[in-house]
Amino acid sequence: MYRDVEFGLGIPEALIHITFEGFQLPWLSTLNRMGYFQNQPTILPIFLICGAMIWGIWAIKSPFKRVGYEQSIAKNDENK
Amino acid sequence: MTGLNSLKMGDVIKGKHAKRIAILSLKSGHRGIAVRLFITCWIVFVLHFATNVVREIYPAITLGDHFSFDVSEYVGLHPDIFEIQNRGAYINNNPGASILGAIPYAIARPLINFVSAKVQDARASDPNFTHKEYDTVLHPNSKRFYKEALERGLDVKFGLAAGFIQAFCMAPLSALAVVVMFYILLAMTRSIRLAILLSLLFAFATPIFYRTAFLNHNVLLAHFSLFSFALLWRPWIDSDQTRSFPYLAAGLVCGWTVVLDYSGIVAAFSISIYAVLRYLSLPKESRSIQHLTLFFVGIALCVSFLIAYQWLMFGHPLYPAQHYMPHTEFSQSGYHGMAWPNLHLLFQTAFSRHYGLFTSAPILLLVFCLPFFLRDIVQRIGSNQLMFILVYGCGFFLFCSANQFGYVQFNTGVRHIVPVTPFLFLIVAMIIIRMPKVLMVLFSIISLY
Repeated sequence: MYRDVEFGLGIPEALIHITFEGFQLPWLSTLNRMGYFQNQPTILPIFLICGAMIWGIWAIKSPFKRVGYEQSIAKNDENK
Repeated sequence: MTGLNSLKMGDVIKGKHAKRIAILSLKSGHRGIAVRLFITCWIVFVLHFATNVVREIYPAITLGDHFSFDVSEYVGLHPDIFEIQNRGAYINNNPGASILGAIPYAIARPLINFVSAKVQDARASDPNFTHKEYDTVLHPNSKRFYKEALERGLDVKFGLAAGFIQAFCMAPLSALAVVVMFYILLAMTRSIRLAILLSLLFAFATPIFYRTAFLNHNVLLAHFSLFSFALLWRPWIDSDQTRSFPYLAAGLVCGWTVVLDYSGIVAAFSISIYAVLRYLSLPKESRSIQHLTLFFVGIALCVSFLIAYQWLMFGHPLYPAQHYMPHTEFSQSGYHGMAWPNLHLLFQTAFSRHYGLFTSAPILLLVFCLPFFLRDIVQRIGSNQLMFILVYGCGFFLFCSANQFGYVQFNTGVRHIVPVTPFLFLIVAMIIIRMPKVLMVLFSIISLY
């Protein structure tokens, strides 16, 4: 995410910077500007870890599956 | 029942089961998807945390530290903090966002204080430690702020406070808004896959993503308006049966929009009209005037809280913080910057290359195709809901074109008009689903980029 819309072309700057400089994380850019890193850190490992977490969330079985449609509808029918 | 056994993600629900599934969906089947959607959005939002220490953070910290809105100890750190003689120092906005932000800050406070103290001790004991400059040419204010915060030993505290507030207030509330959008879209499209894809577009192809990066009252206003509207509408419940709790909750979240910001008056006004329309649209046997009363009681409670806040902090129940703040370039015209709407500001609010709503989220431009899809949209959303969206949207554009402080947005991007996003997106979503599949996918990818 590129947030410096104040300068240059404004919002289109975000497209230009992301296209030519790659993805950015605002907090990492700030830490970099504060002098916590010698060089601009790579964000790829962070993206990979988060990507894996999100993949895991969608890959695991739903903990609510046992009370899915069929059971709920069957219960509903029983009550009728 | 056999047809339902094979129901899986991506299936379009129609026919005789559709009605019953709509009733049961919130209680059971889609909860797993909603939880996953919530966590996914939360992770991505937190990952894109921005370290801006905005004015609302200061009262959040003082509330967490000593249960006070008085931010005297931070005077000089932010231009939006002003002093009132014999009363202390306050920010020039309503306190709603700070109150919400104070909750995660108060919980994380022991940890924040511990880390901050450790860093200060380490710096004090290091003879080679020198204050580094914030490395930027474009942002002299950030440079000044960082220097001042370092000298006062507040840099770590501010950074961690901003982080906890974003991760446990902004990000979860935005993720919840995405889940609410998912349920609304599911009820309208009857397709799980479409509802997921569209709600992800809502999360990441609109200013919701950009604005969730730090504590921001405008995006909170958008969420609270959406929550209130959804609680009144409840399209996922295929029944006209009303209950008192949703009405009271809708009133409370609607009222809180005014505590967040005075532009919340537009939201409260439009949602109140909708509440009455919704009430009148119910069959006579389902109507209960008590429920509608509870909605207005909820609003009244929040407004009373704001009046009490103004009275206690500033000495007068009706004058807002803006009344006491020092004059600035933009407060010269009208009442402290609220003048008659003007076309230039209206155009800038919509299309400015620095902060225009449609420049920031081109996907929302599809809303202008509404006349071509009117019949279909009325069929899916309903005429009352569409009327609400139009009143709410026009109201906000009018408000923003009258608020001279709109010109300040050039420095941080789209802000004041963000509350219309969820509602314009509802119309946009109904247009997207009418597109050919290839065009829909292509359009979605471009919008996300």
